[in-house]
Amino acid sequence: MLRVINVTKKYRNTIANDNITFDVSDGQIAVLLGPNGAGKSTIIKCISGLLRFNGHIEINGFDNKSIEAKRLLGYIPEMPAIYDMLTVEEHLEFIRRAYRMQDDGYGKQLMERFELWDKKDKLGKELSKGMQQKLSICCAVIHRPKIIIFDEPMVGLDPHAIKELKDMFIEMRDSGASVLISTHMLDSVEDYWDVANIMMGGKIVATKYNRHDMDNNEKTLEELFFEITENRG
Amino acid sequence: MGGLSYLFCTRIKNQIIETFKSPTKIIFVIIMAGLLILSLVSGQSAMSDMDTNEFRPVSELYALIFVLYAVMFLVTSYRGFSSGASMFSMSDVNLVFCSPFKPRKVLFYGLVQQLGQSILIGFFILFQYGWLSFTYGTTFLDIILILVGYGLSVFCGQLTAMVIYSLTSGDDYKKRIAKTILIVICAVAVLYVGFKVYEDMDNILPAAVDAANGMPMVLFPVAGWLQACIVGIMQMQLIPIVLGLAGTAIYIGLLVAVIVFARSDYYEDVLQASEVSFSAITARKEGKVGEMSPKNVKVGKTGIDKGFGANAFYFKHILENRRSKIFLLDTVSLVYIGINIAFAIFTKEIIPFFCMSTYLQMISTSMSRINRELLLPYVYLVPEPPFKKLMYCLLESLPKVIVEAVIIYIPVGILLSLNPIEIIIFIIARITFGFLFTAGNIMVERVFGQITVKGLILAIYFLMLIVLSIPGIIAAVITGVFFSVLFGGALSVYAVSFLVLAICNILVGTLVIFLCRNMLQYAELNNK
Repeated sequence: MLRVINVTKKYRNTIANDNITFDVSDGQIAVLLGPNGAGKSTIIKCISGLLRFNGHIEINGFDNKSIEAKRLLGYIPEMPAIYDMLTVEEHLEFIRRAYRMQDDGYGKQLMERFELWDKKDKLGKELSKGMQQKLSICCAVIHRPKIIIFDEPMVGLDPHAIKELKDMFIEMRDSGASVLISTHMLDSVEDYWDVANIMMGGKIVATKYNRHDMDNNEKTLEELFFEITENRG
Repeated sequence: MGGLSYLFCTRIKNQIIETFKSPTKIIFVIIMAGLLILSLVSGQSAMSDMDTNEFRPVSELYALIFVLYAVMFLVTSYRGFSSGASMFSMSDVNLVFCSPFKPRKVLFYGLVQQLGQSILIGFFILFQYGWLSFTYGTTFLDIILILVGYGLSVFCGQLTAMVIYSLTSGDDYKKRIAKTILIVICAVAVLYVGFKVYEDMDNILPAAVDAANGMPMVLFPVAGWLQACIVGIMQMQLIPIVLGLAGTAIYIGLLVAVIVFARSDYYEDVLQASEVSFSAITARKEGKVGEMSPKNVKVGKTGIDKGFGANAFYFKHILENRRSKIFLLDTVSLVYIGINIAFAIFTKEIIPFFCMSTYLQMISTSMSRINRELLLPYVYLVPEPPFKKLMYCLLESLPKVIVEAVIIYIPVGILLSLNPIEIIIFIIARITFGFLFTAGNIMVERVFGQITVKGLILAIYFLMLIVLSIPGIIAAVITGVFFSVLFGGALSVYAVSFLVLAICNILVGTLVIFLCRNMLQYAELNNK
């Protein structure tokens, strides 16, 4: 379970995240929605332990900066994080070794799933941006994290990879993991989200749960999103 | 005002406004201005304190000017064989190229822009005023002249690259011919200097300087002409000024004519260079620091094979070094070693040599793998103790520091007639400076890592390294004075002083690393 409690992040005079609180339960897919500059990437980086902040973030009960929390966390950055001089396969080997895991063939499965197997000996710098993004995803999930955080994961992916990634979200949820996806592309998450947090100006301004028994009068996620962002913009 | 003039002026205006809006940029400007004033003041006082007879022969400075211009011209021109010249940004390509401007006007706009940039690139020359005036009695006007010549040599190099690309792209035969011409020109120049030095082996430096200032070298394209012109102005000699200026002006005119008339549709020729330059800028913004690697990397044996936990970073670095063709020392290190040894021949004294060598070491330490690692999230995410990760990331640079110290100080020690103990102590002193600077590098990342103005970080980095070096220097000076008074010539003052310096460096470096041990726990990923 991921718990974000009263998190505030300031850059000099700019408040990027203003007292944010939300949870992502085990076996739940949460989405962070919001226009550009809403503070989505900042809170994602705070959760991943890459930024300092005021407040508290827990990953399965551990402080997010602790070694125990890092072991449980997977983070896919908005821009692919790739080493120029490592091959595709070596990226996965490096992460596996750094996380002290034996090779159980999962890396190969991931490469096959994201159509990277035939490029396993290509260097990071030789890959296209889409390929780099696929590799970045594989690196983030190879240690089978319990909390997985995606920052705009669909950008640059081809249709096959998008389909695989969506399937992966659902598999992760079914296996009991907490999945948090930040995006501003509403249609990319409409099939599988469980809870949506809409961000504006560094705050969470609305939270909506995906109920299958929703009546016709209730607003859809898209309607709610535009109502909030266009009225307040 | 026409569209292009508007664009040019507005960009400059906005850049100036932007500087004053950002406090870090203002601090950077103030620090730079301060350093410049310091350099000016120290230069002026050196000039007034010294007798003109104490200066080194000014012909050495003229030879240095020639070498600087020649290197810049050749390196910039050589880009024409790969991607051409990037005098346009990607926004120019997307907006200006598609707008209804005449290509010649657009070219002129690019040239003016490039000329300004070329002079800005050479801004570092102004900071050399202190030691140049101390060594050669150079005036500030001379420095400005050298800067203008430097800007022009880079500018001519850019134009040459554009013409080379324009005339040879896609045609290997033409490319080979152009490369051969360039290589032959360089080979003739090198052989000429080599021959002159060979003729007078007892006076290597004066022979090399005379050769570099000789008549045949004045004919060297652009560098020779510009050097003749700048030296002519310094010496108030009209003929070299006129000939040098005329040569450069005709060369620029000819190249522009080739671009405009021989290939009026030059947009395609600058496109690739603009894209390469744009992706490099974007990569930097996205936190990717390019590897100093060969263009075509040989993958070789794959697999990291070793490491579990934090030491996986070390074995990854070893693999990355192998791919970058770094076996203990990279090309940049070899160049620095060459400069060091050349400087030893030049100074013939150990203390000035050690100071210069340590200054060069500061520059080479600033780009170790830890700096690249800090721009990617993995070093923060991997579930290992932060101090352990930090140590394994630093480990990669250790063999390089040791090998560099040995390769530099054994020949230099022999050259400067040091005894074996002194050589060993100088090697140890250099290694400890490597350790101290690495610690300083970590401290700057820990304390100032959030600053996004890279120039300011670099200025702070140099400042911090100087501050960290002070305790060792003071201790060494005190020890030196103490020992020379007490023991006279019984003990090598150098050996004892530099041993004390080395011990201080280790103590200060260890303290800094201890204080920064949790850096990876609290640092922020700064890839802006």
